Amino acid sequence: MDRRTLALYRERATWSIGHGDKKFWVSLFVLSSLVAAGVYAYVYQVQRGLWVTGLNQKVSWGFYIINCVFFIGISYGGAMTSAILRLTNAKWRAPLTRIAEATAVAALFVGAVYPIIDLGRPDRIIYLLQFPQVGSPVVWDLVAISTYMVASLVFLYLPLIPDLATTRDSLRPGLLRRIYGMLALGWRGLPSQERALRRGIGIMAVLIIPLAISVHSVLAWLFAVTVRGGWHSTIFAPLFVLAAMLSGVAAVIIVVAVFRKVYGLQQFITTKHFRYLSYLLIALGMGYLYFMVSEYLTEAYVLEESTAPVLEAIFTGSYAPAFWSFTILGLVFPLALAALPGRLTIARACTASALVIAGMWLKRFLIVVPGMAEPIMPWDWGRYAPTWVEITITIGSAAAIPLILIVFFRFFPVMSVHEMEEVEGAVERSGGLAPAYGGGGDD
Amino acid sequence: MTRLFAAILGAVALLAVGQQPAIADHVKPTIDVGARASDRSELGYIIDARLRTADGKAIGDAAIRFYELVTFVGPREMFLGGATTDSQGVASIAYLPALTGTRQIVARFAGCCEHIAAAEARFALEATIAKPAFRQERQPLAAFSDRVPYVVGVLVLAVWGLIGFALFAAARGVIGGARGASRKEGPA
Amino acid sequence: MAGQLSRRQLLGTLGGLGTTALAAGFVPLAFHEAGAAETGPKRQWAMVIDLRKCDGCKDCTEACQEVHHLPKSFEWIKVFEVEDKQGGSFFMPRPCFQCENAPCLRVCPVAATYKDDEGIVLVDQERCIGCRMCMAACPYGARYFNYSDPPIAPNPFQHATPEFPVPQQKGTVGKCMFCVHRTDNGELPACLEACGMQAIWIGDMVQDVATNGTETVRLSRLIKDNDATRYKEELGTGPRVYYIAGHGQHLEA
Repeated sequence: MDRRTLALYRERATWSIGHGDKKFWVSLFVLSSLVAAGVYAYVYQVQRGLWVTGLNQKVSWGFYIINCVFFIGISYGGAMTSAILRLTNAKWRAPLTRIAEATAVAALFVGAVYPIIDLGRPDRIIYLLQFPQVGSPVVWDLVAISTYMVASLVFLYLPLIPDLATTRDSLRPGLLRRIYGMLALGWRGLPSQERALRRGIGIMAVLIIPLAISVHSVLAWLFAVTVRGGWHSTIFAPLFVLAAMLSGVAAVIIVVAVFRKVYGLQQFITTKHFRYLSYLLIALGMGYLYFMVSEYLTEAYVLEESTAPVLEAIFTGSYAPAFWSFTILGLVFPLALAALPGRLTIARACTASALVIAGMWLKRFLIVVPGMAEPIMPWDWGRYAPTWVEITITIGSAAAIPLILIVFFRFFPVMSVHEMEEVEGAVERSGGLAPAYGGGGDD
Repeated sequence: MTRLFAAILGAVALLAVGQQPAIADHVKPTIDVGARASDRSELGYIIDARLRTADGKAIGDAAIRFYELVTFVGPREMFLGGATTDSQGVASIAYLPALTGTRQIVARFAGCCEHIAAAEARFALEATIAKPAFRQERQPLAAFSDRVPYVVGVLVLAVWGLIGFALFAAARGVIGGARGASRKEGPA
Repeated sequence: MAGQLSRRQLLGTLGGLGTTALAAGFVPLAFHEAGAAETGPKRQWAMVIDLRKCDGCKDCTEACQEVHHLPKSFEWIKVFEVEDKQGGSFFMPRPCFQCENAPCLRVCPVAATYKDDEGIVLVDQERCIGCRMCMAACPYGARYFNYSDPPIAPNPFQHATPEFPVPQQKGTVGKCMFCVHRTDNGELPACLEACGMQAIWIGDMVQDVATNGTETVRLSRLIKDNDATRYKEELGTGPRVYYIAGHGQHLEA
C-alpha cells in the first residue's frame, strides 16, 4: 500500500468522527425510539411482575434466556476476526477488526443485560455479589461474562490507542483534543511504545480466546447440568461455542457490509474480505452441522425415555417446522449459497449470513423452549408464546447494537489505521512477546 | 305332688344356674413383659410377654401386640409387631431399637371370647443395642468437588491479573515512552 | 529503560499476582454450608405415599393451597393421573421430594434455597432473586414461581419465614416444605390430614417411625414390607418420598 492509499485509508477511517449528516441523525432517532420502546416494556414488566410475559410454571425460561445466549453468541465475531486472525497473522483482517471488536462489545453488553431482565427480583441483584454460590452455573455465568466483558473492552481499547492519537493530532486545541490526548496516553508511535502496546495486545489476543470459549461453555452448562431431556448432553458446551462463533462471523459479515456501504469504505473492504469471511462461515457451519448430527444420532439411536419426547417433537412434532426451517433455511442452504462456485458477491455473503443469524436465533429457541416444555412428569407438554413485552424488549435490544455502533464511530475511527500500518510493514518491528508479526503472508 | 313340684323347681334352678355366665371362669389375665438380649446381635432384643390368668394358668393361642411409645409430632404408639402366645403363655418378638436409651414398650392383649378381659403391660427397656445410626450417604467425588471451586477461583483471579497486567503494562509502556522521548527532545 | 519490562520483571509480577490470587481467592468464595446433620438425634423427614389407597380426590392439594394461601396454579403437592403400561391409570400425589442430593440446592446462585438440619429443603423468599434456575434444575417440577402477587392472606401482620412462607412474595420461588411449620407445633402436614384415604405417611428416618395420623409403624418396615420405591431415583437425587406401588386397589375394600 503506497503512502497515498494509506492516507486515503486514514481519511475514510476517520470520516465518521464528528461527522453528523442527516442519515446519522435519522438512524439515531429511529434506533433510539426502538430502544426506548424496549425500555418502556421492561419498566412495565418490573412494575407489574413477570406475569406480563408468556412464561408459566412449566416453561419458566423463554425469550430472555434465548436472547441472552443469542446476543452473547453474536459477540464472538470480535474474538474470531480480531483475535484469531491476529494470531494466525491474516493480513486481510486489518480493515475489519475495529468494526468486529466494537460489535462484539456492543452485543456483549446487550446480551449480558438479559439475565437481569429475566430476574424476578432485579432489585436484589446485589445478592449475587454478596452471597455468590460457587456451585451455581448462574454465578459461573456472572464471573465468565464480566471477565469477558472487561477483556473485550481492553481488547477494544488497546489497539485503539494509536488511532486516538491520530484523531488527537487532527483536532484543534481544546477540550476534545485533551480528552483524546488523555485516552491516547501520549502515543507517538515510538518503537518502545509500539513494543509495549504489541505485548499488551498480544496477551489479550491469546487470553480472549479461552475467555470466549469459557463464556459460552458456561452458558451451555446452565442447561447441560440439569437433567432435562434436550439439555443434559455432554456436547452442549462445544456446540454452544461453535454456534457462537458461527453467528459471530455471520454478524461481522453483515455489520461490515452495512458500514462499508454507509461509511464509504469500498476501496478497503472488498469482496476479498467477504470471501475469506465466508470461508470461515462455511467451515464453522459445517463444524456445527457435524456437532448436531453427533448429538442427534447418539440420542435418536437409543431413544431413551428422557430424550425421545424432545427428539420426536423437533423432528416430527410441534417444533418440527421451526427445526427444519433452521436446519435447511438457516444452515444448509446459506452454507451452500456461500460455497457456490463463481464470484462471491457481497450480497450473496450477506444473504447467507442473515439466514444463518436468523437460523441461530431459532436454534436457541429450539434448545430452550422444548427443553422446558417437555413433560418431565406424567403431564402434558407445556406451551409458550411470547407477549408484546418480550417481543418489544427483543426488538429494542436488537436496535441497541447498531445504535451503540453509530454513536461509537462518531468518536472513534471505523477502521484501525494502526493495524493497517502494522500489517503493511510501515511500522518498524522489534522484539515483543509475540514475534510472529512478520510481513509474510501475501494477499 | 310335692315331689313333682320339688323336681320342677330343682330342674328350673339347675337350668337357671346353668344359664348364668360362669363367674368363676371370667378371666382377668396379667401380662408380664420383659426383654433380653438376643443371641443374634443383629436382632437386638427379644421382648417376651407372658399372659397368665390371675391364678397363674398360662393362656395359650392369644394374640399379643407390642408397641413402643414414641414422640413424633405428638405422642404416638408405634406398632412393633405381634405374636401369639405358646402353651406357656409366652409371646415374643425381636426388637432392634432405632436409638439407644430408655424405650417404653407396651404389650397389649385385646381380650377374647367374651370371658377373657383385655390386658396391658408396660416396660421400660434400657436399650444399649440399636440400629446403626442413620447416615446420609456422602456423595461420591465429594472431596474433589469441594475443592474445585477454590481451584477455579484462583484461575479466575489469575486471569483478571493477566488482563490488568496487559492493560497497565501497555499503558505504562506507552506513557513512559512518551515521557522518555520528550525528555530526550528537551523542551519543545 | 522506561517503558520496557524485562522478562524477569514480568515473571516476578505474575508470580506476585498469582500468590495474591491464591490468598485472596478464598475471600469472595463465600459458600453456603448447606446440608443436614449426617448423624445425631435430629429428625430426618421422609414420606411414604400409598398408591393403593389414593383415589385422586386432590383434597391434599386443596388443603395445602388453603393453609398456605396459594393461587390455584400452585400445586405444591400435585396429584398426577398416570397411565400404567397395562392400560389402566392410577393417581400419584407428588410433594417436594426434599432430595438428599437436591439439584435445586446446587444451582441456586445466592443460597436462597437451602436444607435445614432435618433434611427439609427450604426457600428463603427474602433472598431469592427469581432467576428460576432451580425450576429448570428440578426433575420433578416441584417448584413454583410467583409470577404475580399471591392471594391476600387474611392476616395482614403475617410475617413470612422460610418455614412458613405466607404470604408468598412476587418474583420468588415457593414449594412444599413438609409443613414444617405445623410439625414443629405438634400438627401433621395439611395434605396428610386432609387425605380421606390416609394414603400419606410422614416419617422420621432417625427414629424409624412413620404415621398417617391413625396408625404409627416403623418406617423401615413400611418401606420394606411394601416394596416402596422412589420416583426417578436413577437421577441420583436421593428423594425422601417413597411410593408404595398400586393403582387404587384398596379403595374397593
